[in-house]
Amino acid sequence: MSAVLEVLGLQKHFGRVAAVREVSFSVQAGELVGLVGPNGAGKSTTIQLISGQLQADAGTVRVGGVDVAADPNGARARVGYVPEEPKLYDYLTAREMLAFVAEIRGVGQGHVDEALELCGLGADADRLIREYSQGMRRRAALGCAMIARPPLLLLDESLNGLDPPSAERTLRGLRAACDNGAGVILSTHVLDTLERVADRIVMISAGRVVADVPASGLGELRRRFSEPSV
Amino acid sequence: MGLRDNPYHQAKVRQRRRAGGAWAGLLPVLAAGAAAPLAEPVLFDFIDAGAISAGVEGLALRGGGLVVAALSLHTYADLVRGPDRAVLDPHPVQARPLLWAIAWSTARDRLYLPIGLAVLAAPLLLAGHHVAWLGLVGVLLGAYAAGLGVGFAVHLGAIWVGRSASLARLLDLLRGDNPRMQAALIYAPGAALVVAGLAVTLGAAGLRGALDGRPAGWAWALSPAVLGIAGFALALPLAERFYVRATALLTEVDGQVDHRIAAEGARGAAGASPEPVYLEWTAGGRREHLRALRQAWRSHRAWAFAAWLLGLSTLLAVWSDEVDVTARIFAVAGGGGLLMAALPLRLAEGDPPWLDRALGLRPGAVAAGRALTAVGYAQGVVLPGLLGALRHPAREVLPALIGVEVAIFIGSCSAAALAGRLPKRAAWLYGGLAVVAWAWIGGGFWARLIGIGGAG
Repeated sequence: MSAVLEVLGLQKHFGRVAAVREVSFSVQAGELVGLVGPNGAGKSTTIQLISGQLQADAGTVRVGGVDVAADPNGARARVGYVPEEPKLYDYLTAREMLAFVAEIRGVGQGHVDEALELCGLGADADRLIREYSQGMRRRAALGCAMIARPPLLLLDESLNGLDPPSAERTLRGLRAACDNGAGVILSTHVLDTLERVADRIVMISAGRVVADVPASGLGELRRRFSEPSV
Repeated sequence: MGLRDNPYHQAKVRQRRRAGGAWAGLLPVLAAGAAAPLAEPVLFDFIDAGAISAGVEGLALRGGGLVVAALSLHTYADLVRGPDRAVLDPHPVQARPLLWAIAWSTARDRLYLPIGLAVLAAPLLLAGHHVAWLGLVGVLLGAYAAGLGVGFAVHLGAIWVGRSASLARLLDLLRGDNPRMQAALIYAPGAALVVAGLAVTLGAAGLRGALDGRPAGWAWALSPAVLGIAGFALALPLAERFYVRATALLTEVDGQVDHRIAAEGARGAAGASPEPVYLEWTAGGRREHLRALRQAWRSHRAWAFAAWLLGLSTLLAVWSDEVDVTARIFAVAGGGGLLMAALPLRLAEGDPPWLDRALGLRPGAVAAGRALTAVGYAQGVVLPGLLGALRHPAREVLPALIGVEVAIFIGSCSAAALAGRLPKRAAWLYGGLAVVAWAWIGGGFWARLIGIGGAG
């Protein structure tokens, strides 16, 4: 396996507050990594730094060998990112939004139906996104992130607001992406979900990586940290 | 890649078609049509005096200045903080086609500016000065091009400045309470206004020369348009380098602001009083007013600085040797004051309709708080005018300033009421009403009513 993501000595401060301190980890191709930690631990900041939405004070992030700080646009092409509150064009339908993303990512329109199927929006594909529920918007954003089959998928609390069948479908889709060689980071505070699908768990607390263990070690993590809002 | 093959443009076209409101841009043009005869006594007194070239130069300068000022802000709002950024942030960006799409959209949405001003100048056309009117419209369109081209280039350049380590010390000197990187963004509209404004000055002077019989003046009259094209040509490569990088800068700025607000909240929770804001003492015990003042200072503090800058032009107007000082006060302070009176529209922006009810706030009190905040901010426009009383008879200056205060009060209340009741259409409705109101008071109505000045 080769690393699709390498994070080395990442640091980020806001004023005097250290949001992320010396965070290092990697994600291999085909690996699904759960990023967990209590609220305010630095998960979202870490994901923003990896996706290039934020610039680190120190440290490096490489996605598929591309340095995010040096070539943020090149790195974006290698990442499918679903932010915690995804924004989409409200006056497009999901089909049109996916077709738009397919075009700007330079993949064929043939991927659109597949992405719609993957995010389970087939029946609602021709409704305007402004009519969607929050869960449906998340699913549409997930379709946008996965349509070009990027080597790395970054999902920030993307299972929030999904009904159980949609969450299940999403997890199956992520697992399938891993089987096709993608690396996935799934930030969540729902450990039960990760127990079933993750290969590895990275736990962040107060901006530091406090554990980086195989998913089988989740039980031990629960005991050590007594489920910190997790 | 043409616009037909431009995916960003096509997505915008589709959305615009479905979102409706295409008529909205017509409103300011109609308002300008209604305002034209009302403003005639002040704006077009040069026609009767036979000073066509000088009068047209003045109109081109002020109208062009207004266009570039508006576009220096709109280009920032559309390119740097526009709605596209959040949608496109997770994806790679083809910066050139994207800039074309944004520029086309901004140009289309703001076309009412030069058209409205051309309509406002209709009395010149109706008086038979066709060439002068066409020349004026040409300079206004040039100003429109300059505002767009220079605006995009300067705002993209500001991203570079905001990230530059070598300019960090300069930004620290300028930033005040703001995060360092934000300093570059704050001053960018001003820089765009200065650069495009210089071209408009040249263009207006060129037009005057041309109308006075010097053919080379026509070439100078084109200078704003040429600058606009050059600015856009520069903006295209800048977009490739800095459009995507702007996201990290904006996230950083927002993160630092959020952090500061959270720290202030924590101070408040610990029993310490939060940092006082501009004009906080005017709120007394009214919590809705205090909330509006805090929101205005924390999110829209540029309005406070802009008011005092406009106040400088009021001072210049009343300090000049102009015979009819009241007409100048009405035109300059009235225009600036009515602009400031639009603050409630910004304060209400983005507030869902249920929010105030959920917070247990009375809609009337919320609107009053916003209106009073706008009135307070607008004092920066009016108060410097008081110094004019040292130079001109106080019986002319003071009633004129009182007239402007009345206009500001009515304008602020109208803007606050519209923002609460018709949030989607409030800006357009207020804009149209404000243009007519400005022409009404600027055109000498108030002066005639209270029997001052010579505008009537």
